[in-house]
Amino acid sequence: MRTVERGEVLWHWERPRVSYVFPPAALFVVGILHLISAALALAIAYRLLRTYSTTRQPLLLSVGVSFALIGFAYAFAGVSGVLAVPGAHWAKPIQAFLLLTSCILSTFGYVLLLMSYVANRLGVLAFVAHPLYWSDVVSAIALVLSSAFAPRGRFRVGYVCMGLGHLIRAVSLRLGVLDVYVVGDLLKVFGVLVILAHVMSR
Amino acid sequence: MRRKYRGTISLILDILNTLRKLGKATASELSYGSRVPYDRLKPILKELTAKGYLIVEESEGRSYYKLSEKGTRLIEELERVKSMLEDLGFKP
Repeated sequence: MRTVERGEVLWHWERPRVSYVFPPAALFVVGILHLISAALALAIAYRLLRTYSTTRQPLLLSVGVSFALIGFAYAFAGVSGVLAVPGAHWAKPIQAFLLLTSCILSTFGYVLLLMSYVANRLGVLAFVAHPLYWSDVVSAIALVLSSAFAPRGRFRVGYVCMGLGHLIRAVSLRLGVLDVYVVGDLLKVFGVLVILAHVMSR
Repeated sequence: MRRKYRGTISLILDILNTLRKLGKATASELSYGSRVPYDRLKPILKELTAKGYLIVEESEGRSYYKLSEKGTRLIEELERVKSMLEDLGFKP
């Protein structure tokens, strides 16, 4: 939420969202409501994660992290709304980036919450609630798919190495063979260095 | 009649509440009192003891479990969190 002035050039991610001008007072009120929601969500997350730290129950971790992500997302959206002070041009880029971060965080939070519900009903929560494992699985898929679009040569090699590295890390975590984890890490960092060195050499 | 599903959080809570009611109990008594199968109970007891929620006392060649002060606090915390999760639609 932020005020948009006539003729103002919007960030591309805002275009479908901001189609008319909101009055700053309304944005301020909505921002405060977001901040209250954020405080409640973060309080719930804190309670769940505190209990997780003593009991190590995966349900507490997955739901706690979901609420933490949603809480931070609402906090960012709230701050963005509160910054809707008339004439505060300096605040506009801050508001825009807070909104973008808020969208990304809330999406992750909602998806994790949905996964927690499904996994809780299926009784496979220990599997789903391993954040390191899921982070590696999703990263590996994203990188291997990205390699298909990258130009041939070092770029593609870099993406494939990174993807394989994440895949090895995921497998080592899943199987509990943590000695292999470092091999995945090395492959990943080799891949990223290949790509970054190639880009910087331009 | 089919028994209601209990997640690990509910199991831990049932074990701790049974222990609070009995004062002290052997693993078999706890298994019977909390209706948790012995093979599922044993690792939970081991973990709770290692973390200081339970105290083990040896008497007449048998191991008796007792709630520690930390364990009593854990019951309150787990009850709050359990009702929170149930309100959200989870089966803790």
